[in-house]
Order: sequence, then C-alpha cells, then structure tokens
Amino acid sequence: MRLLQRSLIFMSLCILCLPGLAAGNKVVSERNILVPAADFEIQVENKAEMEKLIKENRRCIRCHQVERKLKKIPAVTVQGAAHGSEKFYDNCTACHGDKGKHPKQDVSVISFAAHSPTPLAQQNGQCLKCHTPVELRKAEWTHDVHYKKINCASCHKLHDAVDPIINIERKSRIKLCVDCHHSINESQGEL
Amino acid sequence: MDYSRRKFLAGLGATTMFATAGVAGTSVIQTLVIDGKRYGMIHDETLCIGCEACVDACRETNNVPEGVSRLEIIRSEPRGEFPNADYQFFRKSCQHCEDAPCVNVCPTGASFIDKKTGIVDVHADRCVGCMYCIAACPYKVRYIDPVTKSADKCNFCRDTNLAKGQLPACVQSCPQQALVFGDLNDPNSEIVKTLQQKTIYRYKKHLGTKPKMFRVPDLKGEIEL
Repeated sequence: MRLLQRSLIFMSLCILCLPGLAAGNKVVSERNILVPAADFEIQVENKAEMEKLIKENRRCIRCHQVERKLKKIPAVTVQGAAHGSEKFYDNCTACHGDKGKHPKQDVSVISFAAHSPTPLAQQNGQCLKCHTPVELRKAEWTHDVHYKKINCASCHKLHDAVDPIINIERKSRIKLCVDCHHSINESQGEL
Repeated sequence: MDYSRRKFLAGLGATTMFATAGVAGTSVIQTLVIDGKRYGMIHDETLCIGCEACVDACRETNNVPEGVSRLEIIRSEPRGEFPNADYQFFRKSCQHCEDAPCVNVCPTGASFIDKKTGIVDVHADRCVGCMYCIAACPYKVRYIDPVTKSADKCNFCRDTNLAKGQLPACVQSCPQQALVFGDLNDPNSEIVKTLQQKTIYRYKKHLGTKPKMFRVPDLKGEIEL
C-alpha cells in the first residue's frame, strides 16, 4: 500500500515538472527563430475581405510560379521559415502590398532588394509591421544599428527554403561584418 | 649560548622573509628600465563596430584554448531608442602597464616587462600558477591557460606576429582600422601622431599603473538638467 502511495506521489511530481521543462525548451527555440503572431488576420477583418485577399494572391501566383524570362525574374516556388507557415502560406500581399497596376507600373508593388524602386524606409517598414523592435533586438543586436542603413533583404532571403542568415556560424558572421564594412570603407561610405 | 627551538624557528622565518623580498625586489628593478621601444596601442571606440574579428584572430594566432581569451570586446547596453539606438564597445585586454601590479607581485619572476619592447609578458616555464597576478591585475585580463597551467594574457603577439615583423593579429584583422599599434618613443610613429590628434582616455588611470592602452571615447548625448 505504502509503495503505491509513494509511486503516486512520484508520478504527480513528474507531471508537475513536465510543463516547466516544455516551457524552458520553447524559450530557447523562440530565441533562435523569430516567430511573431502574424497571419491573415492582421490584414483582414471579415469574410469578404478574405476572399478578396485570396483572389489577389492567386493573381500573383499565376504569373510568378514560373520564371519571367523577359526580365529574368526567377520563379517563386518556395517560402522559407516562418513566412512559409500554414497561416502565412501564399500570402504575397502581406509583404508586397496589393497588385495595383503591376506589372505595367512596377512602383505599385513593394519589392525587397538593394536596388528596388521601393524606398528603404518603406521596405523595412513592411517587416516592422509584424516584427517588433524588442524582438529584433533580442534576436540580434545588430538590427538596432543597421535598420536605417540597409534593407532587411540584404541579409534575409524569404523565398529560399532556409533563410541563410538565421543561425549563421560565428566565423561566417564575422566574415560578413568584415567584408561588408571593408567595402564601405573602400567606397568611402557610398555603396 | 641558549639555542632553543623557538629561537631557531624565529631565525628561520626572518631569513625566508629576506630571501623573498630579495627575489621580488630584483624583478621590480629589472623591469623598471626600458630601453629601445615602448609599444602601446590605441583602441578607437568611435570606429569599432563590435564585429569581434580581433577576438578570433587573436585566438588563432596565439593558439588560445577555448574557454579563456586574451582579448574580449564588451558591448554596452543599447543607447537610445530603436531605430536610432547604438552601442559602445570596450576592449578588455592587457593594458601593458609601465608600473604593472602583476609583475610586482609575481613571486617567481615569471611575470616580467620585456626591456626591449616594454611589453608585459609571462615566462610559462617559470610560472607556478599561484594566481597572485590574477588577483593583483586591476583590469582582470589574466587567466590560467588550461593547457600549460601557466598564467597568460595578451603580449601584443610578441612571440608570434611581432617576432615575424608583423603587426599584432588584432590590428591586422580589424576591418575599421580602429586599432593603432606602435612605438610610443618614436615621435614619427602613427600611434604618437594619433595620440596628438584625438581625445584619449586610459582605463583606471588613477590607480597609477601607467597603462599603455589608449582609448578614443565614443561619447555622445546631452546633459540632462
């Protein structure tokens, strides 16, 4: 009888401890991979808007699922990391904005690149809609000092299967700092 | 004559004290005269970007084992708010003091100031690992090497790069040219010219250790009333 009692106490202790352990693991993974609470709901309020959004996204996919050979724009086939999650899936407009008069007028779509017609502040502003400054600082202190100077797409690639900058090795990271800052010094501040 | 055990022991104690003072005394006298070069370094905190290329270069060049380091870059808390926040960087490494407490306390003479260069260095063979120097260093830059079991720290690459006629590894690797190394006795050296041009401070200067690590402060902000 006593043995049974003891085993019951032991088991209840185990159950009490388990959630604590699980929570501990979660913190570690969240620190490495930045997952803000963002999905379709951030853009839409009702069913009609949702349908419009899905329609809008279908139009993007119709053209961009294959390579646009005239301008050598590669096909968009994968969405990496958090941006490829189920909640986010196929949601081009969340980042790129509405199609508008694209492709007749390129300016209507927000594009993410160093030489994009979209101004730097607008490009990075799109990312900041979901990613808070506190989260960004927690994940990587260099966000603080680069945000106003280079676009997020300089380091982050969301259309690759894996974002190459996430969990980068110490050596490659230092090399990135050295190479980039060296070229800035060479060109005397003009990239 | 009354030779008691008590007297014998007292006499023995006195002799030992004289002997110790004698050894320590010589090591101080030996290190005070510097002839030839007097190497120093400037860390320009306004240019430093905190990439830690110097930290890795130092580790590779001097075979510093994992877990200890001769050189660290300490990043401050963020100054200001996003997206205007920035950071200050502080180089934590040997200051190569002219009046070095680590050298003064070393009981074996393992810690010494090289007379030809003014560099504070350690004879690994002489070190007995008493860690007195680690306790005495006000800059907390010394450690016991887990491989050699001897006290160790930055020696401006005296036995590696400097011996080959090259600049220290940290200076070579810096992408910002934030580190200037040179002879303080040479009025035409880059370090002396930089010292004359820029605002400089030395860490814990008031302790009177005469550190030869100079820093260009990265200060900004306003006076809040």
